[in-house]
Amino acid sequence: MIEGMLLGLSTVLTLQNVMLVLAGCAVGTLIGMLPGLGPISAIALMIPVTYGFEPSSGMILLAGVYYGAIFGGSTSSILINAPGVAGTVATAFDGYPMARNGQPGKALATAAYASFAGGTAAAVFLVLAAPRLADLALSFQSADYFLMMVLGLSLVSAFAAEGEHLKALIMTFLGLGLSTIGTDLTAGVQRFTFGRMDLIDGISFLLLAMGTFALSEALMMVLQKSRHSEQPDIPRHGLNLSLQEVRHVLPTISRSSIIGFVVGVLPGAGATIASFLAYGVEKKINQDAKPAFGQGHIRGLAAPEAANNAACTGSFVPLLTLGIPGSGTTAVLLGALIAYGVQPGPRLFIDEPQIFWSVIVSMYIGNIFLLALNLPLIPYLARLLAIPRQFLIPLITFFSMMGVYLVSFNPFDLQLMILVAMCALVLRLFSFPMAPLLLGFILGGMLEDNLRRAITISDGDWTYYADRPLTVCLTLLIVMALLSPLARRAWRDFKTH
Amino acid sequence: MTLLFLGYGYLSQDIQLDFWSAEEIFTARTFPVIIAVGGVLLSVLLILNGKKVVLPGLDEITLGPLLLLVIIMLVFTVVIDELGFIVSGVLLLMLGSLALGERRWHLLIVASVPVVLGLYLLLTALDIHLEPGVLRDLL
Repeated sequence: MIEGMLLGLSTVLTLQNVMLVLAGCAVGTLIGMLPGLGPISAIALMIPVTYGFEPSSGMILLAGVYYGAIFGGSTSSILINAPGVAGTVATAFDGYPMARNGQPGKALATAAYASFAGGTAAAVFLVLAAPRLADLALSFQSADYFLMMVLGLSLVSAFAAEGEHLKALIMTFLGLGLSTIGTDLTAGVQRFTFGRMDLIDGISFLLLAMGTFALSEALMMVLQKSRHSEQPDIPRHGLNLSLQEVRHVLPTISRSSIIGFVVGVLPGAGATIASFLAYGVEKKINQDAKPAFGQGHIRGLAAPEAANNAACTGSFVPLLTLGIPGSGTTAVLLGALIAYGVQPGPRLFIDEPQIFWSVIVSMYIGNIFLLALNLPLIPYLARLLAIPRQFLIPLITFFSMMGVYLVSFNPFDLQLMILVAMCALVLRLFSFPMAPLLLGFILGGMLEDNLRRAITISDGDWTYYADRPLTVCLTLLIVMALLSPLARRAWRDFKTH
Repeated sequence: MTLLFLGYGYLSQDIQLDFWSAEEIFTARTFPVIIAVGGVLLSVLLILNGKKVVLPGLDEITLGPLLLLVIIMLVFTVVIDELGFIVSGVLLLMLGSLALGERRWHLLIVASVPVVLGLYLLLTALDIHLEPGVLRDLL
């Protein structure tokens, strides 16, 4: 492990890579700060830029963008009550009241320190957990992988917002369906290409990510004029915490970091569940606190911030060790790795340790840069929130379109992206979540390959999926995940009657 | 959604299978069929489970600027190869802002030309070739 860390350090600590982490954090913060644009859009926008670098350098840049975007999202949550992503919704509960109470600097500093502590603690857990899980995963068979991916997709639905479980599952199936467009490489036949050359290689994940997130969000901002129109209260001083305040939030940060990491490791759960869970736990512990939670309590801000950053790091565990993304963001990162010609999974740890370890080390470095450089720059970066929508929307549109165009230089891809964005806009109006679609799309190819392999090995015997303890456990977990929303509803009905 | 998955399932039967793979346990049609059946079942469940969807009122949403912006984006996709990155990029940003109500020309120029030129220089420095289009002789 120490050898691995040293390898990671030697890979990351070159002038180019340090500059890339720095640039990634800064760009991620800028993009993540824009209302509606979260880490998925930020990473998708930056992927074309990374094609000019080595895979490890590309991942280092994207890890910086990821952290920066989460931090930037917290800034817009705190200053204008407009969370860029669901993961920072809980941040606004106490962060925004703190900013309104004349403490925007303190609120941003709390968010930054809590994020740093949560991210750093989780990076230590990651170093301890990932190699062990990668070793264990080497013994996994196709059926295990297939069931693990189905479990991940089922959990996305189980953890979806109240009333959206079925919609999340439908979006997952839609994503799986979109993944089948193009040439089936095993059979060598075209599927759903309608004879178009442009579709022979299928739809690019970048196009889908941009269309469903960045571009559709820009169109949503046009459609609903009232969205994100508040002007921020930009802090000019007071970006620090007293020793007493640090002592006060330290236990909260410790608890929330552990909650965040554990929840982040679960496929499908991610930063949103982690931040709400950590907030809920702190609220329970601090029932008699003054000011009350929801009215600007510093622990109410530190808890979701530490948890969402820890969850971001935790979500790298299944990505790096199993090659299974647990969230929309890690799904985009998986797409980037595949585009670099790197196949994540247990072999990554053995075959390309420099990538494995450099991603982990870049998280430490990214966290340090975020704290050391972004925090003092916040008063300047936050001015971005004041960009009028008539300039902001065309800018998002332009960067989304250029992100896709720079990969293929094919105008057809741009037209397809506009179509995808329009469809996504309609689906979002009907409260269909977009992340399950992206997850289904990214996992679709791997899911089919593993299912095909397992079915072929077992000669069509589906009981193959229940002949070992691991597969039985996974099948039971899938059933539990799918039935959990029904069970929760039944329990609620039972309690009310 | 049900119709979408039904259509997908119908089209999955058009996937050509070679005569030696048609008898296999798992063909190129198998996965799409599973998706179609699952999708239809779930979307029917959604209808049966149906709750009334509350959409934003028409007075809260602005369709005109949205359609205008989409048309501008579509025109951009058609002219980008001809006009090149810089001219089409500047036009997209300027016309997009115009469609959303901005009328101050100096701001339109300030918010578009430096952005496009900056990105052009950054990408050129990263060895990513961009078509200069009508500015080919100038650059």
